[in-house]
Amino acid sequence: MNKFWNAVLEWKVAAGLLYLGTMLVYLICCAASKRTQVETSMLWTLLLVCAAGSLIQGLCFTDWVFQKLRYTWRLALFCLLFLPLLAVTAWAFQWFPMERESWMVFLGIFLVIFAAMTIGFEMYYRLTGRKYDGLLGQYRREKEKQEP
Amino acid sequence: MKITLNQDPAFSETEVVINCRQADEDILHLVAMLRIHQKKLVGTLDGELHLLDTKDILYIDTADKRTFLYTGQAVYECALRLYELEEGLRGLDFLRVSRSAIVNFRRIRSVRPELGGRMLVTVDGGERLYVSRQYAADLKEKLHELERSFGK
Repeated sequence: MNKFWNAVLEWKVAAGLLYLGTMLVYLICCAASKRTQVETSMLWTLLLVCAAGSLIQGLCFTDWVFQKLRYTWRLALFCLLFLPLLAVTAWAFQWFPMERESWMVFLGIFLVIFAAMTIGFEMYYRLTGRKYDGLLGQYRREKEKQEP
Repeated sequence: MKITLNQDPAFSETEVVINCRQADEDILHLVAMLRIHQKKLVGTLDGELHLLDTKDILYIDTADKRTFLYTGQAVYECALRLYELEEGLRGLDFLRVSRSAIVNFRRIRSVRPELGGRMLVTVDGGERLYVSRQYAADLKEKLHELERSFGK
């Protein structure tokens, strides 16, 4: 039970952070398009998407459900669950005109953001790992000098 | 069990003598506890007792209430429980990485951050151990400490 509540708390934090990030992007988009008013229904929709999205993120990128799943499968699963969620929300709340071209742009934006985030995380993991390895190497050399 | 402590300035070194009918589990446990103070661990392999230098231990893990010492060449069973080893090895470069494992920090070859806040540690010889989220913070702190000390 403790594990369940810990997961709920983590989800709450992740959803909050995602909502904050989404609102910042939305704010920039509104400012760029010189919109001065937004509908509260849009804010509720984004909150719902962020809550569901962070749940999918937790499902795919933590050990809540899948303890030993390859990173590639995790990415694929995330795409498979998150993209339909966004598409259904976009369709239900009419985010853009329901035309083929708009859907292509929507898909393109999703893939670009997804690729950028994946590359970003990959870079972070690699650079951090390299930094840790450097520190460990230096530590071992120092220790060997002290106690050969 | 009688405990006798003889203090005499004439003794050139400290000697612990255990007189017993048979070296049973309790006695082996006692010997193992004493050995930790000498940076040594007692492990059993094929019914024989081996004295191992802590420097040679890659990691320690527990399964079915039994504790095992891994050196890369062999796996020894230890009479001590994991929490006792954790306590005894404190200050000797050993780090708890999960509920069931302790790793020799000096024998870690690489560390990789993993999904969900976990970390993956590779020890000499290439064996890999997952550091659970609960203990990953301690490992990160240790690495940050190194970073700070090397940065000086």
